[in-house]
Amino acid sequence: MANQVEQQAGAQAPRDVGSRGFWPGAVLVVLGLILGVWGIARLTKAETVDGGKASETQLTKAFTSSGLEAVEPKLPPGVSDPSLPPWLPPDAKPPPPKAKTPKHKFRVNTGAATPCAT
Amino acid sequence: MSNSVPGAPSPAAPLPVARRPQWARIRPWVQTAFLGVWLAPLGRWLHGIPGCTFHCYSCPLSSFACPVGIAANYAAVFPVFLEIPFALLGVLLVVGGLVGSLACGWACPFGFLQDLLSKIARPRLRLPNWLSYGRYVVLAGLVIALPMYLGWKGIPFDEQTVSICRLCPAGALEAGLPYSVQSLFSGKGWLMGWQKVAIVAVFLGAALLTIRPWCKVFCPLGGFLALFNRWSLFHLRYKASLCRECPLCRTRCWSGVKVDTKINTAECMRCLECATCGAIEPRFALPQSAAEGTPPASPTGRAA
Repeated sequence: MANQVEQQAGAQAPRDVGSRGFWPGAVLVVLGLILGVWGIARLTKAETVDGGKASETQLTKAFTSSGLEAVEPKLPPGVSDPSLPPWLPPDAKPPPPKAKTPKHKFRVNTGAATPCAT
Repeated sequence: MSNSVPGAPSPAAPLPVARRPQWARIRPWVQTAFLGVWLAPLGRWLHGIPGCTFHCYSCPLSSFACPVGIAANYAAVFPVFLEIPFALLGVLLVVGGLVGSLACGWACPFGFLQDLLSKIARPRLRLPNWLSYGRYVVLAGLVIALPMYLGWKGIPFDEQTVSICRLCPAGALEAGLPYSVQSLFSGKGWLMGWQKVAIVAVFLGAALLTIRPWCKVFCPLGGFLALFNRWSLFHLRYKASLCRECPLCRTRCWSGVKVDTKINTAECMRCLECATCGAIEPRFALPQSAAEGTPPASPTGRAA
């Protein structure tokens, strides 16, 4: 028969009491305020249809009102598209693309008011 | 939970009684008041300013822009403009640093809608906690990575057939449904596709079966704000001296958080339903409380 050895009560896992300091949250808030104010005030790289640069609020509003317009690249008159074969007449339409071509330029229409279709 | 701790008051022992606000009674009224902020009846005032709650900006009454929609749109045009939504990050950092996911529990209109739906059927189905990681999958996949990839391929966000806005039940309920009804009455027919109708039906059914299914499993904004729960100025605090070791806080938490052992976690949506007995106390960190320091915990984990 084994001898019984008196055991100490095992320590339970420490509980998270949830206490915390002030500064981590305060730093987040101050950082957020700086970012927010700067973000609202700054101009983005996006151009507007008027020719200027769109602010971040204008760009955000353009998202909400279908105000982001894709710009197709236009060649000046009399200049043929270098991507077309040279034997094509100048007024010939280019062949339809097989795959969707990337639209790599947008302009912001700040006056758009069409709601997003969702 | 049921382990008795040496030195702890027995369940029958009288505990100090303090007057506590009835958070569960106050919350619906605060949520209703916030509806007045998010749904401005006079029109789209501030659609260029990101909001801090999940709310479709295509809704005819929405005041602010939806943060999730902004993030997805910025991700889609990132290959073109290389722009980062600093205003959105700023708003989310301010809200996250101040209150964390309290915005989900007390201010979100879509969360309020799900709360109201849960009053109809008294849902009992509890979802496992690991499903809450789905919020980060949605955030990383549907909100950031997929729109950015398709944008890089040259497909604008409006033309992306799979995106967060196309799958969003809030968009379907708050924008798709009103515009479809309007279109139906004006003789132009029903606008919403069957996929959107199916999403709405599944969402409504799930909201009747379990509490806040969207918030718990899918909401990318809630997942992001909940990351700040560990550092936000508003926080919950466990007062061991007032705990009766009863399972009340755990049974009241529909998120399945064991608040008496692990508090301020990313699964918590801070509805404050657990803060009814007094052992879980909502607090706001102040500079002087930081100077006082934290109460030392005894070896059993109880505050001295």
